[in-house]
Amino acid sequence: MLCERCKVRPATQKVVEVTAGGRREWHLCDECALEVAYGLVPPEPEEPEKPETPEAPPPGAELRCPTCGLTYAEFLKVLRFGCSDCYQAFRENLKVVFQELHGSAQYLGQPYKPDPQKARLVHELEHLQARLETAVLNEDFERAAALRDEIQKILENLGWTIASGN
Amino acid sequence: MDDRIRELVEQVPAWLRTTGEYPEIVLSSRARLARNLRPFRFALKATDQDREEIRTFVLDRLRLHPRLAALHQLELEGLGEAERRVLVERHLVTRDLLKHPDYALVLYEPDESVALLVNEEDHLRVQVLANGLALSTVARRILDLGEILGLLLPLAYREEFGYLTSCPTNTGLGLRFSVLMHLPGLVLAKRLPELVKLLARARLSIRGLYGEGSDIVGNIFQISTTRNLGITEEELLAHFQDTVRQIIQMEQEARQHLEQETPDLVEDRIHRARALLENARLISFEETARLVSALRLGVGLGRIFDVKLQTLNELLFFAQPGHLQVLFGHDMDPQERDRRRAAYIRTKLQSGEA
Repeated sequence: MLCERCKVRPATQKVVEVTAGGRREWHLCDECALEVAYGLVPPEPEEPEKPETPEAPPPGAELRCPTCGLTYAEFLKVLRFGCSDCYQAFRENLKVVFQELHGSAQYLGQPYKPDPQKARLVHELEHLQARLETAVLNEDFERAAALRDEIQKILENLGWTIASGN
Repeated sequence: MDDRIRELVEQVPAWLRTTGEYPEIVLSSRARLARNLRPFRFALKATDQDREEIRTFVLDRLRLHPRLAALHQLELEGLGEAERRVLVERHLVTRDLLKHPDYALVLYEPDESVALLVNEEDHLRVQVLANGLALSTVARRILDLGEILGLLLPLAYREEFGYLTSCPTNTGLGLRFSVLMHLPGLVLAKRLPELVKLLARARLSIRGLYGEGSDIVGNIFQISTTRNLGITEEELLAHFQDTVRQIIQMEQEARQHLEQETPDLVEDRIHRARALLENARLISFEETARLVSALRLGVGLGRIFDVKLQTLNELLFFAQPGHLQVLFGHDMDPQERDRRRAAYIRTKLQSGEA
């Protein structure tokens, strides 16, 4: 759920306010909770809440992810995706969401492109590991020892031996 | 009692040591990755069967990497409440993971510097922890781990949005840096609003270490990055390092200022705290944290020579409710906890360990 005070960041803290009028719980984000805890601001929302007139549904509310069934309206309510295909289903609307949360909707990090040569080595490793298990099951220890040597070589090529610090 | 949990409570995690940079202000540095597996639904929509398959699949693939295969492994389902609490108190597991412990798994290095959570809010959460200010170190280690995971597992990713995560706040890099800082100077000097503004401008988040109510205990704050889009890994790290250094400087100035302007008050506060910790017979965790904070300030200012910062870190850590209950081997009501805690603190401060 969204922070009840700023209505921008996700709520992560429960703050209990005790007044003459009784007890009230607020679900706030980290920032708002901190400011409230230090008495810098009251827990009430920054803007007075709009009267509960039937609110117009947000644009795209009816969009539905074909894979997991999550609707865009549900997504906005819980601020969680249901699967990776939700990103495609809600794509057009997400740009605004990301702009708000991150100040940008553009990924600038390292691209996810596993080095094809390393990927091949991992594939080979998997294969050898399976053969090693069979050899051990069959008590073919000579074969197992040879396979272990091969595995060790691949691990060295990947830089994955324990000594190499990865 | 689970043996692995007992092992944990009997050791001091590597990230709590005071051999790092600026130990009097920065307790620890952390980097965290959120990753998901392309073929599986996220936590919100995952069924028990999905969760079971995810766990099996991840474990099966991690076995290919000797270092990952050697990680200690704990399943959350079989643990009692105090034992789970220990994992949260040690920052190995998030509170979130406790809400849905089915098929949840934590894998960790014996020294607790690396932890991998399976079936949390994201299929995979990886964290690297180090003591003191060590952001470049944790950044390098987490990015190495990210590359390895990318080779072993098919990760959910789109070119335009980067790594796809359960929560849109993590979408993109899926990367978060944070530091745990002790900032009594800024709190006493009432400069927190200034800090909050500085952090808001830098798009960083701050949260206190919360006790039972909404008060922040022990003047300990976690400051974290929040941006994951529109920024590279290197920029995120560099900006964060700059801001953390700026906060360290602010805290140092605030401490100096307090010492110059109100030396008696500061001195009084430190020694009262020590007297209470050394003599109390019943003490809550909140009070412990508050007093340890004052004593920590005393050590930082060079007013206290015969108590080690390390001892104070350990006090704060082992005085937490979950740790106490596991250390003493049974669940306790709050009053017994407060009594055991007071006794533990007295022994610790009187023994040569201090």
